[in-house]
Amino acid sequence: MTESRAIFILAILVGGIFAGVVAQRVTDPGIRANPYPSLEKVAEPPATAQVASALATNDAKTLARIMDNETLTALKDALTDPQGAALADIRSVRFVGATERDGRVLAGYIATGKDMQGSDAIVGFVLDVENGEIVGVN
Amino acid sequence: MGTTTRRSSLLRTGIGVALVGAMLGFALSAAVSTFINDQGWFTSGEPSQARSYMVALLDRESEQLTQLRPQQDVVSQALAQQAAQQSQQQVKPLSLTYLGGSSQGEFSVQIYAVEVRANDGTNHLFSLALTLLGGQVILTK
Repeated sequence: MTESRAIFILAILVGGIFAGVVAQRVTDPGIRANPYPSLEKVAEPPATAQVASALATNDAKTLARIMDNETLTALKDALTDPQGAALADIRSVRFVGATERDGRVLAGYIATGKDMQGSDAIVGFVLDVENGEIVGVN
Repeated sequence: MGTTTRRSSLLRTGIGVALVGAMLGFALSAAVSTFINDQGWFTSGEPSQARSYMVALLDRESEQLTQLRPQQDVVSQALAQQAAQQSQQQVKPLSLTYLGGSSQGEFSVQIYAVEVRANDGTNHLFSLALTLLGGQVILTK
């Protein structure tokens, strides 16, 4: 009797777990469908790759050479974390994707490092490229 | 009488165990699903909250946007609704492209490209970087 009772309880438990999984899958709406078309992804533009590399290696000289004053200022503003602190010590810069429309390329990057307070920080920024040159930063 | 009591006890135990099992299964499935989504396995890695936010933003669903943002005061909510109504008359979304994203600790950054058509017929392509914390969009750049 004790053995059959244990088997019964175990079976009920397994059945309950299964029912719970099914209920979760049925009630989970999942990711919302994108009702808009998506643009084609393109390769990382060489100009933005150079910027990413210069940021990752703290190469101020290259940044000053390849970007004008306005885009450098915009890049500085873009490299602030959600608390508003600048990303002072950049540890990595990762290209996440790029897309193109009518000759204009948007290349997305994620930078990680430490902010001015020494806290871990993550920042996303996008370089805007036209005719092979960086014309804007978001 | 004794048999009836035993059966009743077994039934109560069975219902209790089934409920515990169901809750366990539900929580386990939700945790695994969230983990797989966060890791980007079998998906693009795009968090569902970020996608919902972007679609709601383009569709001007101010109530949905409010739910995906940290709690705001009533005046800020009213201002957001006014901004959504005004942008409805000014632009028409044409495309929404997920470029990619990454996480560090509790923070997650997701980047999108958006193409819109302005009232004057010109198309504009711009980017938005969302910073998420605890499933809510705390910063849009």
